[in-house]
Amino acid sequence: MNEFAKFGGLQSAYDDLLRRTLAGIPSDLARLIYLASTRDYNSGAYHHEGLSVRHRPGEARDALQTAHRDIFYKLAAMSLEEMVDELELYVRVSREQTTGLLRAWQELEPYRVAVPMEVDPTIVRLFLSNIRLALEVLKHRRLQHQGLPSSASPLPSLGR
Amino acid sequence: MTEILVFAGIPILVLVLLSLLGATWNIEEDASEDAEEGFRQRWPSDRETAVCIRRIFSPQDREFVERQGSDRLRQIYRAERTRVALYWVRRTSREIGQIMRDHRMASRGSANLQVGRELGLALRWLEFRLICGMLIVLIRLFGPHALKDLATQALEVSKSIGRVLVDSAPANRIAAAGTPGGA
Repeated sequence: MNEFAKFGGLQSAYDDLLRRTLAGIPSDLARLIYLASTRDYNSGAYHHEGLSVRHRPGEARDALQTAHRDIFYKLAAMSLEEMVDELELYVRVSREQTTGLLRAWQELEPYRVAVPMEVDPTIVRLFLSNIRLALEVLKHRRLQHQGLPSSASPLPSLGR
Repeated sequence: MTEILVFAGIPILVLVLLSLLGATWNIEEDASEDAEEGFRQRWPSDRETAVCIRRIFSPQDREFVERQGSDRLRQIYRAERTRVALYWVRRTSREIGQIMRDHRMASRGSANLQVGRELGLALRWLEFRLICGMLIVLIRLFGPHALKDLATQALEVSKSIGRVLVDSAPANRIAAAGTPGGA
């Protein structure tokens, strides 16, 4: 009975988080970054003021952690094409200059801190690799669109 | 006679080398990765991992990159995917190696050791190491996409080893506990 009540409480907090907070965020990548931002850098514990008021603190914390992992796995399982679309949408809604954002993401790699704890290391590698590739694709498209000669210009073919 | 020895010996030598490669190639290169991540163990049969492995070896992403029409992107893509694929092979090999070592230690104290099952397990282990060795060589030579089937087979063999060990673990523990000097 207690276990059921506990699970029911967590499910309720999770649904609440999806409905009230995450539904208002326009892309999965933005949701991932938002959820990572609710995690304390030092302790790794999640905290959301509104959720903690409406639910037990433990349930709110677990709901945030579960949602973080779910979104992460969803993104990691995406094809590269879908990841590029996600990143493009994220850039569009971020209100930052596209060139500046792409440059900052390539140099600082802030997306690394968006990875949840205790997830499969191979999946982490795949996710980070896909983000790096998606950034390269967007950069390439942007330079092509501007008609600029870029580092993405054709190189001598290797073995083809 | 010499020709027979040469023809029989070369494949055996290659198999032994590949087997050793599957188990040891990662040692020098992965030391920093171990320190960085520790051993965050998750069983490779997790649904997410299976989806992830298929993604690494799937040609879908490569076709998307091809459509972008940039040689530079192609090169970056191949380097990135090769790195992830090699990491997966090494990690899987290391994890199963650890499980086999644990099993060997547990089996030493076991009173009801089933020779047939242990032999079958040893053969599966040898097969797994050979596949890992071949995967490492072939990924380096041709990239990960030509190897989807072999990677899937490695995943299946690693799962079957895990299943055998999970099934046998309680029996071994009980037997070992009942044996003088057992755990």
